[in-house]
Amino acid sequence: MTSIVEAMSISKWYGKVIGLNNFSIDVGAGITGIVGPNGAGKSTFFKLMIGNIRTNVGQLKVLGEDPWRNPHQLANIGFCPDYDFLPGELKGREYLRFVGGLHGMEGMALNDRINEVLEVVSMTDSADRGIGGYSKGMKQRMKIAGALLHNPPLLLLDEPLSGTDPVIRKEIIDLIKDLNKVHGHDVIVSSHVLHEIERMTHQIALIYKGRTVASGDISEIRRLMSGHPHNIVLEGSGMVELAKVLVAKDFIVSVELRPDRKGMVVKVDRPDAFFDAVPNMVKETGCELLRMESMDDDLESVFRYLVRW
Amino acid sequence: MGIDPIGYKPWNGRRTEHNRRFLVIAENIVWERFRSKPFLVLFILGAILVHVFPLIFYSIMPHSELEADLMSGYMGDGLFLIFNITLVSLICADLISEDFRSNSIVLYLSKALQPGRYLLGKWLGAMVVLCLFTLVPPMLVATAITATQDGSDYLGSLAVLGRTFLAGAWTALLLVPVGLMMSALTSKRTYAGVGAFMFLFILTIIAGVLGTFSSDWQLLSPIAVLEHTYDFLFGLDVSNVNSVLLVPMVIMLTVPPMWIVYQRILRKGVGK
Amino acid sequence: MNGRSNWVGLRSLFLLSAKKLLLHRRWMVVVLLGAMVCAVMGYGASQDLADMDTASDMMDLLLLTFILPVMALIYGASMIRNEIDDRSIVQVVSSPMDRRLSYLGYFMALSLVLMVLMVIITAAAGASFFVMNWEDGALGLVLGYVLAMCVGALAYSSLFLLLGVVLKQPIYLGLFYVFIWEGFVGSIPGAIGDYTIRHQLRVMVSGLVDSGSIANVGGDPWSALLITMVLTAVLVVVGAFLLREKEIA
Repeated sequence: MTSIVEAMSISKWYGKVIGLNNFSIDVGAGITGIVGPNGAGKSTFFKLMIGNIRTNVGQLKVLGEDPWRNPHQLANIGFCPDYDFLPGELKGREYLRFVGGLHGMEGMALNDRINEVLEVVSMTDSADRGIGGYSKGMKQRMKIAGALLHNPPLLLLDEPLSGTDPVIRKEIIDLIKDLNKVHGHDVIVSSHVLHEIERMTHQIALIYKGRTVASGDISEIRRLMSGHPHNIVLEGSGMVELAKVLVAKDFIVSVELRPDRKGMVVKVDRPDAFFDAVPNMVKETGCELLRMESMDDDLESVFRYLVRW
Repeated sequence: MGIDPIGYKPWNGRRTEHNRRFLVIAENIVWERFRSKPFLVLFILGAILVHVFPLIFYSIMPHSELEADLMSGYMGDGLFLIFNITLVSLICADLISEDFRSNSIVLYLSKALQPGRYLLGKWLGAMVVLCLFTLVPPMLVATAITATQDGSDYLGSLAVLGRTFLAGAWTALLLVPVGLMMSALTSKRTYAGVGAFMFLFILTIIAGVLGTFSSDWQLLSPIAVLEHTYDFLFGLDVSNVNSVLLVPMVIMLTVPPMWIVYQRILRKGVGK
Repeated sequence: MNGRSNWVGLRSLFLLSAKKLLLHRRWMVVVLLGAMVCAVMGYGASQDLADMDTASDMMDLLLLTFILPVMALIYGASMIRNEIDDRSIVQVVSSPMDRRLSYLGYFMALSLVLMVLMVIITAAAGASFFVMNWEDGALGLVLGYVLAMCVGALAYSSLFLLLGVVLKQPIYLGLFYVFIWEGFVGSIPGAIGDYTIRHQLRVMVSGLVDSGSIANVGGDPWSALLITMVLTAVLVVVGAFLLREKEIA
């Protein structure tokens, strides 16, 4: 795997406040989600990657180079921070012209590129309005447009969905997916809303209190957490008989029947063994299974499990 | 399963009377100012440069009593007045501008605090902080001189001490409205601070320039206004001062600025 | 970035920064100040015995001593500081343009805007005085002050822009410099009075005009110009270096 970003035991502190603590990560191509609660260190990591701040300890490489005091590398990175920095007095197109100028772009080529980028973020109709009058979603899209303008191979999007309504969130998620699938940019996107990241990518890095808790594919992380019991929901008829059979099995940790006796939650420590045994148990008891679903294959359960340890 | 209560309990403690809530604002201002390092540095520097040397010098010099013209001259000294102007700019810079910038003015006015009380709290806080420079040190100097006098007219010295108190309070009273006005005219404290400073200084400079043509123009300067009012407060000769112009200048430096501040608070309170 | 790209970037930053400075609501303050200066100069011209010395003394006090450093402080101290505080500087520091070059762009915009404003105010002030009191040498006097304003704009811009990068509250030190250092220390007799930008500007003007008390200021105008330019260059280089090393959180 070609590494886009390599962080080796980096630490960053602001006075007495620790931003990142012995943080290591290896980010490959595609879309990678950086997930963590508020104050976990996501924005600190982004600022380190863009070279706005430097590490106190450790080594960081972005596209193979140290980002601190390396302005040339910024031609390959598009950054969209989580805060609002757009100049309200400018129009959208003027702002993009300014950003393009900062990247050494000018003339007709710049105008054409601006039109292209506005099309990508669906802001063509609003580009000639003042940024001060934009909604939150429009501002987010304009920020992404600014990050895309110079066609960087790598996009860093820090909390691009924060403060947006559900409709805009879906549009931005689809945009981010297109940026990778259609336009070929590698994207590192952060959020504290786990299910939003899941909708964009399965490659994630979980960060908590300045440390990497886990990184990789969500399912892979889940699979490796063999010590953590899985919760599986079963619904149907004949659940009482099925429960009696289940409690005797050695891979069962607990069985909790619902009051209406039409469903139960089963905690298993070996999900593979459980799933293998289910058909025989159903046949043996004669029950009718209408629903069987693992509650823990989502990112939230993975995260909740990991940060408790 | 119902909603798990989060342990909310209504406030059953004492509530300050409405009329006294402005004191909370004033107290907060005083504590905040003295937690600011740059302000503390300037305050201490000013105290050393302006007050410590006179305290030592005047106490050591032989003197029979505390004299009014001595205190008037000491308080009318250029450096003292420059520091006063600098301090009032810094004290008042973010008092109201910061509330406008962060929109916490809405928070204040939605807490059943009348605009007038809000302004009173801000004004009182600024007055207390500034008086710690304009009133307390001169009182200490005057007390030190009285305590080390050779003569026996302590009553006369006490009278001058009282006048020093009035002069110290008067200095703050004259300068704070302009500082508050600048703070209310902008939401950036930098501009408010510079604005207050500039307003007071530009009047001084214009007065200096025009004063070469006619001495009446000197009264445009807040520094000159202070100096002449000190003469009045200390019971000195004021016959060379055009009191017909002095009184309007005093009013101009106090009433319109406070009115402007009040109007700005009202406008911001309704979201304009 | 290559040379052409750097030039384009510098030009973009310069144009936007200059536009922001000029179109900001501060222009109302500038107009007010300018009008006030013109009014005072006009009043001075209307007095008996008003002559070139009067004009020179008034311009020295109003423009050189007060308006120039104060306007440089207002514009310069807040230029980069505001962008750091509201984090809009992120678009500049996350561009491939070297931060040192970006600093130069800010400095160029600031000093040019300041120069333009001071030239206009100085010319208007001179016109207000001499329109009623034309004398030979009036144009020379005004031009002498205009030149000093231009050099002063460069020097003060470099100083206050640097303060804006270094300090969170540059205005405190700026005010201290203008009013305490230049106001009080600068008027102390002896060599210490020379360690101010204002003194160097006055020496320069003394070589250009022969009216008013400023004409009697001792010193070599060319040395004063050199000292001011060297100081400006040093402050710009230091500021650029500090911006490059600054962590923008």
